[in-house]
Amino acid sequence: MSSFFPGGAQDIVGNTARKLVPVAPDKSGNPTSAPDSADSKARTPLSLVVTVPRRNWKPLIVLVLLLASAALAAVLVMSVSLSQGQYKLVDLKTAQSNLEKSNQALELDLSAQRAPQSLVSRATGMGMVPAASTGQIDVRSQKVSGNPLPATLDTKGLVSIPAADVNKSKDQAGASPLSPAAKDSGGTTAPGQSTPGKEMAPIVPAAPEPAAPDLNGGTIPAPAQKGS
Amino acid sequence: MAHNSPHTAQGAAARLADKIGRGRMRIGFTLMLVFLLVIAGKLVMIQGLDVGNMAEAAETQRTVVQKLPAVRGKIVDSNGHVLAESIIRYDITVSQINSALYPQYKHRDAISGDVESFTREQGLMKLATVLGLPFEQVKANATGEKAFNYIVRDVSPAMESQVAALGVPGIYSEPQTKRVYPMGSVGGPIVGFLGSDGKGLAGIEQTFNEKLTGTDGSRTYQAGKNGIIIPTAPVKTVPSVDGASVTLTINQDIQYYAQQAAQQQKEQYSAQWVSITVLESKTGKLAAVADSDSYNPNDPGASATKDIGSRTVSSIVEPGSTDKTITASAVMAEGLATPLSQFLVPPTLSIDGQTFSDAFVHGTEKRTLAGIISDSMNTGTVLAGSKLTPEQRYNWFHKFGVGQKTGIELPGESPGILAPWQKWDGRQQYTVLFGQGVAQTPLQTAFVFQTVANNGTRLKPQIVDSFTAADGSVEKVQQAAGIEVLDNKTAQDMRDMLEGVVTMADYKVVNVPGYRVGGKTGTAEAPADNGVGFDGYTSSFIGMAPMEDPQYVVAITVQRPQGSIYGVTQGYTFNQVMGQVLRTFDVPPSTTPSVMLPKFYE
Repeated sequence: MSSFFPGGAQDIVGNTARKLVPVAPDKSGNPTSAPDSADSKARTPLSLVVTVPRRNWKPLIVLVLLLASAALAAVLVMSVSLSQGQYKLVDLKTAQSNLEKSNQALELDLSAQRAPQSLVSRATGMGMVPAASTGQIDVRSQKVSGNPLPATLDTKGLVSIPAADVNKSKDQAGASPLSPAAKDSGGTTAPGQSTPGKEMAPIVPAAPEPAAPDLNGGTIPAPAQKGS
Repeated sequence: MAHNSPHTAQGAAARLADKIGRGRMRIGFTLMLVFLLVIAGKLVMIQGLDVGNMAEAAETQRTVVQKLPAVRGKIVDSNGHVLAESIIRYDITVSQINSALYPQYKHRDAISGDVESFTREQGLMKLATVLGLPFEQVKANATGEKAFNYIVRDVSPAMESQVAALGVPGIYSEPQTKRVYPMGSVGGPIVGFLGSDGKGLAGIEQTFNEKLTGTDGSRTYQAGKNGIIIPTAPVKTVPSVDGASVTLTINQDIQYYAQQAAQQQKEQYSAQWVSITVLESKTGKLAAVADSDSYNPNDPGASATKDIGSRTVSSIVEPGSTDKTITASAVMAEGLATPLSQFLVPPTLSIDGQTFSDAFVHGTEKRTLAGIISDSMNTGTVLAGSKLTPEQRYNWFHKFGVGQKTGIELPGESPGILAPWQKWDGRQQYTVLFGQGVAQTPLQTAFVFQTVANNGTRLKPQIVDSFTAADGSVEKVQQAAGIEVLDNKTAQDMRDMLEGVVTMADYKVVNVPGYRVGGKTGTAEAPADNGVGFDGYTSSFIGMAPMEDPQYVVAITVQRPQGSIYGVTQGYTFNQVMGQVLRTFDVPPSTTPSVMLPKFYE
């Protein structure tokens, strides 16, 4: 309190109000003390006390809570979606590997189908024979060189080499005597086929692949892919 | 304080109660503090100091290291047709114990969504139907006390997914990597096969095992109990690097045709074996290396051990008259003769106490060198070749690659046998001139003719065209610089003489319509396998076309044909194979007339 009245504090005791000399406030706004003069009847000055406005915390708290819950929710959503994504990723990876496998099987089948042995055996099956003689046509001179003759049915090709049966299972080798490893009537002794050499049947196209979506006897529907 | 007023007594009680209360609070506080300290201490121990490596143990438990296997590279032919590749196949397995646990089971149909109940018998029946096996066999495999047994091994992924869709309890599948060879025995001895450990045991699979094998990768991740990756945990992936694919120079169609022809010849003459080599003369690239009885790499165990490997590179034979090409070239290159040099050839030739005769009876003839070669006269060849010193003869054979490995990237190559000239005996020094007393692989002999076809430059046989790394980068195999054996003029003269063999022979067998061809027959006695004397013959024909600019060389070797050797000819087979080669590679027909060097002089 004394700091308020740096000059005349000694005269003021307790809460007794005394005549105050009107003073002009100094530049800092505090009334400067005036010398204790005779004008003691002066009125106690009143001043307007400005109340400090009380802050309203409610919206802030609500905001913070909202933000916090929103953040939590966001984290939760992110976490859930990440996990979800992981599950989806696993599913997609499975689907991918399944597709790769079936693609691989199809490509293998294609390679086996376009192996020369398979082509030859299918051509033979269609009744095609190799050309007995060949000739060349010179387009510029329009001349035919060589000695081309029409092929005849009895034209014999070279001995055929058995096709590889790449889809044969190990334990099935003995169980499926209908394996297409065919040998022509020339009776090649080419090795590498575990099928019994007794069959002299005409050449059959290679490898009946069980991938065809048949119903396996009408009981089991054959799904194309493993369910992902 | 003398008087205890009620006020003061009350105060004391309160103070006491206060004291007790405070004491209790203190005790409680202390207890809590101790408790907290213990917890905090434990926390610091576990989290901060990690006594007992709990964190590590937990991480180890969560961490899964997955091997990412590298896929072995493919082997493809010059047109990209697959000769060898690795695929996924499945073993269908059973836990007999688990199978017995479910005499009845429910299965939800994936399409209709109905849940149906089946007995174990029904399940196994369906399995047998899908697998195409007898039900009894499947049931026998699935019944017993074993925790693991095979139902069937090596089925396709398509079949495996059908099996999985059945949902039969106790039936499982295991993926396996399998090496398959879609062409089977076509090119089998070149491609080779793998052992059970996945390493190449023969052919290209063996020689380029390093390149074909990739580097396995790994993936380290943390997974929950359900095996799903914990998304926020770190994942470390070391990608696998697949093996490089090897592109061969082999042409699948030519290989097939040559192999057919070899098999045909073998059967026709009941020969021991037949080898046919097709090569591109200007590059040394092999278009086909065909052996009779080529094994099927899908099942190498089914073939005889002697048929494993390529005879073209590993078997040595006495080449016989085809080596007269070396002698004639040498004589011309040394400036000792020209194709029209004159030799008075007696019916039998005696030189240094050694007597040589020919396959046909003749009187004393006035032959040109071309005439000697065209009728494959031993007498005349010795007469001409004896102008060379034995050392020169050796050097020329050496220059043509006899007695050295060609360096082809196939296992088991034989260098052949060319004894140093100092060790030649009185007869051998002359017999080498017509290809006896010297042993070559069919491949070496083919490259003697490649040298002549390629203007005298001998190249290394090339069987690998390029490597394609997993990232798609292609590494072409560079052909090494050839060895200059003959000058252009000598090579041209030699080619004219080889054409003369075809055009001037009395019995014209070799004929590829539309093309000028040249070549040389060879017949030699085959040394017996026990090393004593000879048994049987080696019959061969090596030719090239088109003669104005030879592009391809086809070499046929037939070992020990049965029956009269005079009835054996490789001419027709050569015509077929060479015709096929020229047509396949679109070689334009010859437009220039054939060279016909006179066989006799006046």
